[in-house]
Amino acid sequence: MSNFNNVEYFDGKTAMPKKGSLSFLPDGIGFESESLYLKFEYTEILNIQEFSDTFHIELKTSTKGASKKLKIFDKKLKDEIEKNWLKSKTFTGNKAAYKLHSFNLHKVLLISAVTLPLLIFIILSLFYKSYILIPEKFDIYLGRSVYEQMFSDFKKCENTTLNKEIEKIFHMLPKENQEFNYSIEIIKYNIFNAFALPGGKIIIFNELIEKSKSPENIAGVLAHELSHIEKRHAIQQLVRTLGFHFVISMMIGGAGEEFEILETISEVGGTLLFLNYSRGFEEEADEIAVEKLIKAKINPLGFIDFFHTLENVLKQASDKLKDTKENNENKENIQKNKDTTMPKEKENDKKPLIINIGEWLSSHPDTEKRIKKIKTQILNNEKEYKELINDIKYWEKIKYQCSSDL
Amino acid sequence: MSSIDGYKSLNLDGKGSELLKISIVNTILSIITFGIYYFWAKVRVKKFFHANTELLGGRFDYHVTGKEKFIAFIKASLIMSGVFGIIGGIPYFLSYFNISPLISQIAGVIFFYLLIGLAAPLLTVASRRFTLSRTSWNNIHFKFAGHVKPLYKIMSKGILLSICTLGFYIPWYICELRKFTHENSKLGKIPFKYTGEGREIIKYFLIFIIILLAYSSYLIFSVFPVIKTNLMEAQQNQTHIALEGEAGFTLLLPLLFILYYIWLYIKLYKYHWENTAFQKYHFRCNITVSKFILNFIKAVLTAVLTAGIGLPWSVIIMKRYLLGTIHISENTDVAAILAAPDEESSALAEAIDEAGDAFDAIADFLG
Repeated sequence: MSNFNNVEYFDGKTAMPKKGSLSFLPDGIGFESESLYLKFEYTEILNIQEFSDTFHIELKTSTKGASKKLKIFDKKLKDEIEKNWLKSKTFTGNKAAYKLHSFNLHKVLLISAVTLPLLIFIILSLFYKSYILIPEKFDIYLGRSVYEQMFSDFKKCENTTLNKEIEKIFHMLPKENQEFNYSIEIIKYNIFNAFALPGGKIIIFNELIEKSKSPENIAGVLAHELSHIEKRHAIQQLVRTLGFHFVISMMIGGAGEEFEILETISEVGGTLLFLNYSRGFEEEADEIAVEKLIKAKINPLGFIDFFHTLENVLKQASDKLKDTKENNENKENIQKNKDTTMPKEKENDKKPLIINIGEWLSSHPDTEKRIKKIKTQILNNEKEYKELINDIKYWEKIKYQCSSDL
Repeated sequence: MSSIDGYKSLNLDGKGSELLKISIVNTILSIITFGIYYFWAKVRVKKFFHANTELLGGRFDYHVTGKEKFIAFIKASLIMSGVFGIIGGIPYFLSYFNISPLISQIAGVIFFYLLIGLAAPLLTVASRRFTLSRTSWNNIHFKFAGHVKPLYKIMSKGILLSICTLGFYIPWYICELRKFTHENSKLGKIPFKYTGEGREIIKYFLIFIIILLAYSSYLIFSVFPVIKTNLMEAQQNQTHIALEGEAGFTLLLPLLFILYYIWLYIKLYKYHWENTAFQKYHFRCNITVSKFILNFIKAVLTAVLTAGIGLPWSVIIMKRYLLGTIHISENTDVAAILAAPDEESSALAEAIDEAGDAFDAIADFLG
């Protein structure tokens, strides 16, 4: 092949390039100027960069803090050198990365349109399934540390009768994972709630017991919490969060630090996505809870009844909030009327900024929808059930025994 | 084309489409390699900006490899985990001497900040040495010849005097730091010069003090009493406090700070460049607040109207504007720019050089 003129060589010693020509050798290229003749093997090429009208061939050097470069202006010459250089490269991964980077934008867009969603799907699926690799001992450890940090300071309900009745219901429910240490604890605190800690412990607050209408209500709640434990929802959520953040940091970090603003936006999107996952876990726990109740021959209608109580509790809380707000406004109006020196403000000037939180922002599905789903599941599995307590008056009496101890 | 006679500006001629392409390929490769390519990806983007920046007919370059970054990350992680291990171990160690857990924890926190304070000059010097030695213009590498000891002096004096003078010393401190970093930076054999002085930039900071005083008085006399009353009422009624109308006005004031910060950034950017010289010529800078804001709006609109796809173009708009405002004299003697031979250095400087990449990664972590 003939000589290619109009080539510049930067030797790393002076900022002024040496002008000359380039020729092809059996295993490399030769640069020749008026005072210089240099041979470079293809393996000495570090990188080839393309600019609007020029191409830079970066060369290896043994001198610390120095570098050499050839600047060429001919695309055909660059293509030929590139072809030979890639042939000389041994590490295929490196080669593939370079080739992918040398595609034009249209090709890259086309490749990414197909591969990127697929890759994200694969990687997230792998992450989502990877929770099975985490030993169940980790659930027990995690549950214990959460308990020690959050609940160890709460007062336990020590009423023997109530504890005995609740434990009786709890033991009736089938448990599938023999690795976990299943236990239940009633905490004296006025919250209408129950928690499932990873590893087997369930925490139930006495207000939930007091507001229940029957022991079947409690059985439903316990079965639901047990399902969270057995399906390892806490660990799944943890792994999913890690997977999501990994994908986001790869997408944004890979694009360069200039794009880090996107990370903040993605964090918000991620939070909304995880609330959606959380709703999925709740629905799964409801479904398994009904199965558990049916297996234990406990009437699952008690679980539906619990949701009605939950709706009432939520309604009461919302009414209370409204009343307090109205009271505050009344107080303000009285204060305004009293204060004659202050000019009266327009009503619109003092409107509080209230953000309406929709269902999509909730970690739990809509209660009505849950009831509907459970009803359908029960209809498909009708069986005979046994009463947990024959005398409902007895339940009405014992459910308050914890707070009477307060 | 330069807008200042006798001067040439820095010119970023990289295309948004090229940056978008690099970003997409980086993303694909980072995911495929479970994140390992991340280090090569970062280098690729940095290389794009360096190699596409032109000055006096020559181009910049960034000579770090992904492999170097990856190894630096591992080294830095080992150093960091050692340091955090020691900090975390302090409370346990002190518990053997029957020292209360609270005091042990406080000792751990004090040790951490002491360590950060001691490490800051070292990290600054090492990071700058690494970055500059891997940056070149027309294949002549930059160099940082600064040592840690003088920086300790500047930083300890600067921080102490800034605290004692309630911040009035800050402009002098900034200029001393600039003088240290600029005058120890070289392109080949030729050092840069810095002629800035604190008294010339104090006026920019006085405005900050006035806004700060006005805002603090407003908070103390108008906002805090209202918040206190609302909180007490909310506690009594067991409700949450609603964000009232006045709060909207309170939130407007930080906006004033943001605008001031942009103004200050532009003023200091111009001042520092115009007080930096190479060979015997001072740089010139024609950045203006209006043009900066105009370019910023352009960049934001580009990103928003394209639903984020135009972000590479947005980044280029801003970088191109900022770089394009820096001008160098046409009389700069390019032929006189020669590579620096290896200079004699102390054992500490050698050690810093050796660990430079790791320290650079740590400085990166700590922001």
